[in-house]
Amino acid sequence: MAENIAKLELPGNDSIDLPIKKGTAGFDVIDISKLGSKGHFTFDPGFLATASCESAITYIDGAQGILLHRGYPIGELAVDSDYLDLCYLLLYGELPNKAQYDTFVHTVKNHTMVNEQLAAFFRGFRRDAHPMAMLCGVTGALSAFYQDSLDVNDERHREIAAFRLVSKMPTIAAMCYKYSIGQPFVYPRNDLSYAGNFLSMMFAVPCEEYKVNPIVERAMDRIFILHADHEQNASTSTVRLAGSSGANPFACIAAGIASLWGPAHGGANEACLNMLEEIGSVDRIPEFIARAKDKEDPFRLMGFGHRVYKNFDPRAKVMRETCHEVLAELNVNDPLLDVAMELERIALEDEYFVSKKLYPNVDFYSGIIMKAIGIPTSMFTVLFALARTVGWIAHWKEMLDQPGHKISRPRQLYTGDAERSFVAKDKRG
Amino acid sequence: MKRHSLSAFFIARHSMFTLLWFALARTVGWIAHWKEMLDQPGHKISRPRQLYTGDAERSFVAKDKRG
Repeated sequence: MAENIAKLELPGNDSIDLPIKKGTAGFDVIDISKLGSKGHFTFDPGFLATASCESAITYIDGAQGILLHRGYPIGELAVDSDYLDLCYLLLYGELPNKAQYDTFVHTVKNHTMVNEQLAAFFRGFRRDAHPMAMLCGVTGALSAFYQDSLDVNDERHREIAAFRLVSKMPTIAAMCYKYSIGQPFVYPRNDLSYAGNFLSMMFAVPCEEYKVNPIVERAMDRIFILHADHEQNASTSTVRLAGSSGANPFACIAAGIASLWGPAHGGANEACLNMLEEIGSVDRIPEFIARAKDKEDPFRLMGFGHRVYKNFDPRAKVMRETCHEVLAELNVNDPLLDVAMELERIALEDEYFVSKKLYPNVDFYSGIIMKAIGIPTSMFTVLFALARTVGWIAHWKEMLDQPGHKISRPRQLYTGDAERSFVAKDKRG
Repeated sequence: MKRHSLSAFFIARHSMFTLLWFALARTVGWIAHWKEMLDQPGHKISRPRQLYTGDAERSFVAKDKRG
């Protein structure tokens, strides 16, 4: 049999030849799209064994600890690139030259303000609303404010919407925070870097000058870089699915934010910080380590090991260095951070952790950095959404650019009742 | 009624049509499916795969070395 064909035997002495498609790296996939013509469909809840699309943006090899954006290793990008350089790369496929980079940065920096009416929109929320609730609602509402970039069939509209989302997401994220603590919104400053401007909108107040700490600024930029894209995860797939109907980009990104909000997706570093709070102090660590090793005990250490990166997380190394830089620079006195550093030491030395590959992961370090900077845990997922927005847009754009793309429409296995006659209200038991 | 306000009226009517016929009526269907999923034992986060057709690994190029 040909190497690029998979033969599937079907009931009734029938069979079908299914073409095997080869990618440039990673798994080959069996193209089952013709299977429907035989009246058969595949069943794969959660799509764990289904390639939902063809994509050229990000490549992950979990076993080997490889994460590439457009071919470039994440470790090199995090050290030598910057977030807007990476945004350009994700959106356009190649690193920008000097002129392209300058133009892109200028465009992003000059669209950071949001329609002033959005401030009034925020005031409709309760002050104690979760920042993700506000982020999701306000992002969805952007389509009501930027009606001149909603035609998804117009390439220029798509590009303008992409710029607007990358430019305005830090502004909206910071507004979510400022509103929740009752401080005035801080307008963006286009003289600052992308990360520096975000820190300013988060932490500046009108009564004194705010100076961006360059080490914190670099750490923030790295957190953005390390969260920019992760191929077809739940939120990215949600954005693609929503966008497949031709929905406008702001509505699609709002759908992505909704998916990211779930604790199984965007909540990992928040869960890690909650665990550190539960442990509370360094002297209680041995007790919790013993509980973690006890299979009967429901307590689990959060922030160690990774579902995808079984042996090594390529993002964790650079995040660890950044974490130690930030802690040394800020010299924050917080028992939670002492607990974190002691846990890190144990995890890197203890035979149980080392043999089970329970290394401190990117969520562990990014959670600690954000805590040290003064970002509340309720904002962690908001920052994740901010950083991931460019990845969502890159995937949304890639999907719409693919010739002949159609609305996504999965099948189902129907397990409900067979046909039965309606029973009038007065005849029911 | 002026021409532009007339078209605005029809656009508004069309939007309300989508809103009422689809979103309002479909909400109960969406909730029923969301509930059914969460009720299924052992349900996990959905996570599709992909066919990767992008660039193979290549080395990063510093900004001042780009063409």
